[in-house]
Amino acid sequence: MTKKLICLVLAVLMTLSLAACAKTTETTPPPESQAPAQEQTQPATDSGDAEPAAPAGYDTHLTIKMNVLDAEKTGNTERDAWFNEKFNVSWDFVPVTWGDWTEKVRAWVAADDMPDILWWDMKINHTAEFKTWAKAGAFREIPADMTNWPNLAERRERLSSDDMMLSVDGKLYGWPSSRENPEWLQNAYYPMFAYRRDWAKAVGMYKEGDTYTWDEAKAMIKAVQEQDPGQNGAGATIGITCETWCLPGVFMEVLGYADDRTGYVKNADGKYVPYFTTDSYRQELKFVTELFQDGYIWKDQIVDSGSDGANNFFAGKAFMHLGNNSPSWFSGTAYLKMVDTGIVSSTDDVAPMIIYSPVDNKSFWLTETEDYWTVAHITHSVDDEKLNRILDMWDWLASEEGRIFEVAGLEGKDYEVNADGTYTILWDVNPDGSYISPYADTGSNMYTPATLVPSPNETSRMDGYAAFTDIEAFMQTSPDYHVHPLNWTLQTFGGEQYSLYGAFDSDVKAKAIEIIAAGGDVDAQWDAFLKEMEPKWQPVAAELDANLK
Amino acid sequence: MFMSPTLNQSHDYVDLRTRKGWKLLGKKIWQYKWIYLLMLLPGIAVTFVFKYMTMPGILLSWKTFVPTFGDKSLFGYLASSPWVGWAHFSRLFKESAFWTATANTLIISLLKLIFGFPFPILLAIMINEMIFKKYKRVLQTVYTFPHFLSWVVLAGMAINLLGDTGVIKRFAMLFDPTVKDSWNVLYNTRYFRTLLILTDMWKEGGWGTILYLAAIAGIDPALNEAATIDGANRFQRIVHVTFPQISDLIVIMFILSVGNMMNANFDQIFNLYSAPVYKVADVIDTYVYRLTFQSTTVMDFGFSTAVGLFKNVINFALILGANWASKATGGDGIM
Repeated sequence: MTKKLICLVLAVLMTLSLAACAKTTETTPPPESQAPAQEQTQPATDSGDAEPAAPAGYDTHLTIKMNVLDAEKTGNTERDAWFNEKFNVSWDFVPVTWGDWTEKVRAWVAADDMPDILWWDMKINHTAEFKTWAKAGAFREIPADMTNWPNLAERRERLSSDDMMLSVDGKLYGWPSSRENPEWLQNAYYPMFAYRRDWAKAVGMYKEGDTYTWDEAKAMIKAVQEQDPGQNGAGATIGITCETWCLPGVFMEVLGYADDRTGYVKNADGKYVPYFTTDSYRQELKFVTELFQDGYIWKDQIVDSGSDGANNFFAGKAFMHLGNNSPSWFSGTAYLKMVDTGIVSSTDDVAPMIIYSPVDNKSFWLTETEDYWTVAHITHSVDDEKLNRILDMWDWLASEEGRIFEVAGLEGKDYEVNADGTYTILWDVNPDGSYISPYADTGSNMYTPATLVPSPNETSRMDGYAAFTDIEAFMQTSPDYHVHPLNWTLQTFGGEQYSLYGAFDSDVKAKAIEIIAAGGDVDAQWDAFLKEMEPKWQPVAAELDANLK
Repeated sequence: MFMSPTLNQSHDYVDLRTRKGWKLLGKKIWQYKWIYLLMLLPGIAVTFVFKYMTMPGILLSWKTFVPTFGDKSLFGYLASSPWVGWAHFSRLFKESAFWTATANTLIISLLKLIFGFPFPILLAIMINEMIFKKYKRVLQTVYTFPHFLSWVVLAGMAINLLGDTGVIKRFAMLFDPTVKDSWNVLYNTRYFRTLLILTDMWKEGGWGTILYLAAIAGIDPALNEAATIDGANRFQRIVHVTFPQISDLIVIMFILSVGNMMNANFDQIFNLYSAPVYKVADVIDTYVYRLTFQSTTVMDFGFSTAVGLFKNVINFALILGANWASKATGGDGIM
């Protein structure tokens, strides 16, 4: 009888466990006792002056579900507890990684199983897809009247993406996290190289200002590989590594063979053709193929689907690294990893570098990007109270008080305000004098959707920003600094063919990588590919010709 | 719990080495049939929910997927998605990448069938013939262990071993320094399928032996004894006793393998392949995945459903064909 009972209980348990797979449709916050494990509901801190303001009108405790990067590091600090108490909220974090982020977002939307705040790395070429979702009712409208949220309203004034990309029939369905870029940057991101300045000095090829031609850079790579200043072993030093998304696109765009290299460009007859069919693209492809075949680019970069490229650079095995090597990346990632692990002894040993275009050996190219990084949508199932609370939080984070909170933490605990209005940071410092932040990167958590924190800030390792002083001076003053423009009109165009095929990015990228890896006769291989692709892109180009003047 | 060779069950003694034991086992199963039926429930529920309730989704092959929001009905997305006729199939048949993926799927599966299918059978027979029982158990464990590693881990190991900075290249450079610049095992179209077959055999070969070893253990020892008395040597006993005794199982496994031919192991290929080897390694499943989730344009479940449906139609035809071939050659089929 006992066995029968055990079998019965087991069978029932197994059947019930299926319920775990069922979609939850609950939209109201669960009682505290049922709160998920990751929720942060710590009481108020007793950290000196850092008492949160009394919750004004926030009588109802709300649990907000949001997807974040680094979920395990998010929401665990005293600062987070202070924030949660201020807004009387707790969080249910859904983890995403760089590798699965977009895939998860697409799956959640398709299954109507989105978190309250759906946050993603939405690019301009996702516009058509986003609009399909918005039209089908996936998201709450961000209220047109932003009187209650003046800081957000002020950002809307300065953004283009809110109207160009995120509005449907005049209604805003997503909030872009504004980049707050200075005007001279022309909304470029930093697809550029970082390198081991100490190794360049060791082989006697360092140039003041970290500016090189490609011939100089290639000679320097060979010298480093032969002389092995990093003591990696004979022939074991890698020339160039990169982030996985940089091969081949970013290698090509930094070369500066063409000004406008957005998906489709106009030919001499004024007709749209895909950029990959132009001679400029072919020249870029040949250049990168040669770099790879001659051993300048790490051979395994082709099969790297994670962060091995970057990790090799951080671990002192590679001389150069290509990625979004922005000041904040230097400050928040490269220096932290390399100085803290003893790979470099001084922050002076690693630096960003300018490599001039091989076309003229004097121009330097970056690429314009959207005026935001990441978009947050409020899911359709969110009620008015939660929507208002979220907007209240974002508005506060977009204020100067919120900015200080993000970059410096809590007054009294993390910093003190001096009589002259400057801040004294109370954190521990590294031997080089830089601060050791007790907080995870502010660019990957629940604070990010409101707005990106302007840099440089008061607390980060200033070394990262200092390394850019010369380069940014060059960008601000030199006529040889150029930016590949972003074609807003083209890339937000929602034509049927364009939405379906775009600029065949996946096909082009796969073929380009295949050629780069195989080497041989680039022209012959590329001609064969263009012949195969021509019937595919012509209907798209015809649609663009008919609709975009 | 009744599958062990001997079992003390209250006062009954079930000896599966005798006909009486099997009868007793049958009686016991019948006696407690409701428990077994109950334990089937989760499996039935899973199959029903994930295999049958999702079937209406096949209609998306003729629709453009438009998600619904706030709609509690199960198939609301079908109503919201407009019909597009045969547009997806028409596009599909024009895509050269689809035909490449179809051909790759069949070629890779066929290679796995030729080399991978007999491997666990041979391994099981070899293990069975081993004299030292303890060593036999150790070997079984060693061979089976890779099955429990995910392809993510194994792909990482493969890259570390075979990559540009891997151990094998460094070892090869000791003998031939010229491989330094030409080494590209992981994205060479000439080697990639071999890499797939070998890693698959390494990972799953040991696990596959379990079924065959169980079947071999069930062979009546009298048959081997009689063959020995008749003068059969070890190899002859394998050929004339062991192999015929497990041939029914081999046929069933073969038919199931053929029926699974259009599934060329997504996990393995997805974790090991890269753009340079798409033309020899991109199979239908990886193609669908890239179309659905990694496309830079609008995600269209309709198109990927059409690809999946086409794949399953071929799969169904293959399993019917294998079943027919098995019966036509005097063997047993599965239906």
